[in-house]
Amino acid sequence: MPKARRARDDLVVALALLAFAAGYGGLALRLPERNIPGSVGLDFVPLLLAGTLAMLATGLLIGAIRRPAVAPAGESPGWGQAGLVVSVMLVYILALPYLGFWLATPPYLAVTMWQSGARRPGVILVTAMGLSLALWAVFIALFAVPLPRGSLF
Amino acid sequence: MAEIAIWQALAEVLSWQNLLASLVGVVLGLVVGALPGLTISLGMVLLLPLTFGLKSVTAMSLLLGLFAAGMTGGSFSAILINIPGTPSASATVLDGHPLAQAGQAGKALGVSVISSFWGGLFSLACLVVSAPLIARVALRFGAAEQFALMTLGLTLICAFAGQSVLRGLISGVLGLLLTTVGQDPLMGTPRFTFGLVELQAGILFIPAMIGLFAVPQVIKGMRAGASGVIPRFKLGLTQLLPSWRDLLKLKRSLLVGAAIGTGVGAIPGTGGPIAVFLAYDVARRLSRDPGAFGRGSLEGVAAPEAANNGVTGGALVPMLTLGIPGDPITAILLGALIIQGIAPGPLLFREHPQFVYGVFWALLLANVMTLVVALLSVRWIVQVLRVPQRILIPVIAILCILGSYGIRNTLFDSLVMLAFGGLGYVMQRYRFPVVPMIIGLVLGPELEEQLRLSLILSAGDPMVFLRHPIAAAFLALTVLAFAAPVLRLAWARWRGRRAGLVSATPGPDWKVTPEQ
Repeated sequence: MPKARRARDDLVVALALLAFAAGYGGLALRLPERNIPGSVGLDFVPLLLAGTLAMLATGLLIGAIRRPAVAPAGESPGWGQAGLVVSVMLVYILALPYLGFWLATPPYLAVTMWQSGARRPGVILVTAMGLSLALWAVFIALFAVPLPRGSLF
Repeated sequence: MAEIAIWQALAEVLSWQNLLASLVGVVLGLVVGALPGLTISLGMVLLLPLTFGLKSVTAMSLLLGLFAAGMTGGSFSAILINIPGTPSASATVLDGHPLAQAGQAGKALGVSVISSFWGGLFSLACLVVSAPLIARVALRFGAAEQFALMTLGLTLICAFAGQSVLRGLISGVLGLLLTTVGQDPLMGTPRFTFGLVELQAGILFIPAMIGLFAVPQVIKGMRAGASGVIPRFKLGLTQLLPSWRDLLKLKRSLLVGAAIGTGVGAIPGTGGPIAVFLAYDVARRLSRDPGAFGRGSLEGVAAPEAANNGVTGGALVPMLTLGIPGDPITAILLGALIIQGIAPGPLLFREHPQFVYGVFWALLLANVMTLVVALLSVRWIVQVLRVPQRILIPVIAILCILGSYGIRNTLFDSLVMLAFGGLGYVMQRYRFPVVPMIIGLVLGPELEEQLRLSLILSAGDPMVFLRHPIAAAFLALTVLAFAAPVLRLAWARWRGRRAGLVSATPGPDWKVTPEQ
């Protein structure tokens, strides 16, 4: 990643953090007052943290303005890839209360296997079913941890 | 009284449920450790939701088995395919792989397993001796001292976690800030819940930890696709076991590695990767044959492997005695204890002695099991290196979701996990370390409680922290931890300037006058 790009990234992050600190501090100021006389209230720690975050974000901002960050950028996939992975996970989570574990899991596993590079439909299908069964065995049979049930089926 | 607790704890640890839990933990640890890309933290955090239904000592046996074996398993891929399975096996690559290339893979693996066992035993002995003493001292700590100590621990973690102290601190403060969501720790008044009932109990740090650790890994793993390629090696027991003469030659490296690992492990914010390189360097300096290091020296395998398992016992010292997790792994262990209704800290030794001894025995069992299982089954365990990412990654993704669900049987926790996963990815993308955030999430409620208690007890006087000498000392160390990078930079600049000045200053013209 070029140095100028990294400096711009830091600038954006610093401004976002400042905005967040301001918003959070504003919400903290609206907390109900239930102070013990002579001591600190509900808003004390949130305000302290908002102030600290604002101070640190200002440090980041000054650093970004004065010179580009020099830390090496690690290899990372693009936002599109990340968005896709998170979206598929989100769809699975939202579908679980309706479809339940057994109907939602094999299709989800198949999609993520395809996302990870698997291309043979037969292998994907069998593996997705096998993995679902294995997960059920681990959660229910071995550790007695409940799995979501669907309301539609 | 203590003797009874010791033997009762041993009996509990030797129950079949515990032995099975330890065995499962060890096998999973060796597998997770051996697989590059899967870290011990990731393995433990995925396993954590499955421990809810287990007894406290059984849960610890499972997790400690994974912890100890994961450290050992990391060396398998380091030696065989030149890729460290975990960051703590990074130094093992330097001599382990050259040994494998020279046809001594079995010997390197054997030395690695035995060194790990020794490191684990050494650190356990240090833990058993030091923990009760530290806990006894810590019992005298009041709210001010506890607040100052937690602040010091968190600062050290922020300072060491990434390349930039500023980014580490931002991450840590964000973690603390997120713990203010939910009921406040003193009065139970809801804050920042936006009317959501699910947020009344606050943001649970286990889904947060799962998301921060695992989801960025899933996103990255989706690209990897390829399966590991491992050459064929003879890895029978006869090839693995080194001779007594070989082991005697390693005694110095083993001692150095174990001592450094234990010491470094006990310092919050450090952990395995720092310990192994430090141990490697010291072992090289003390070696009779330092030139062999980097070209296939058994000492170069023994020192880092003794160090990374030395970290296991060392890291438990601040976690058990002070309730301060020094790294992500002990943060997960702390989370497991909290789920079980056990609060780590000095009172643990007084109120739950049998549990403490149970943890000691469980760690011993984990080390013994790792030695036996690793030596007997390394040839099969390394086959997991052939498992393709396209199978592993979907399984990790689904374990994140279902594991988070299993905590309270609500998909809200899965959504929290996913939100933190996205946040973790963004943080990595912008080079912010996630570990300080996790430690902030773990320590936040206690930190706020102790801070406010101190101020209530002193009628709002902030000087209370300076009037207590121990608290003042901890805060002075905190300031030093903040200032250290700045001072180091100033020192380097001053030296650089001085060196530049010396070279630029015309000295005595001896070059042209030696013959005078």
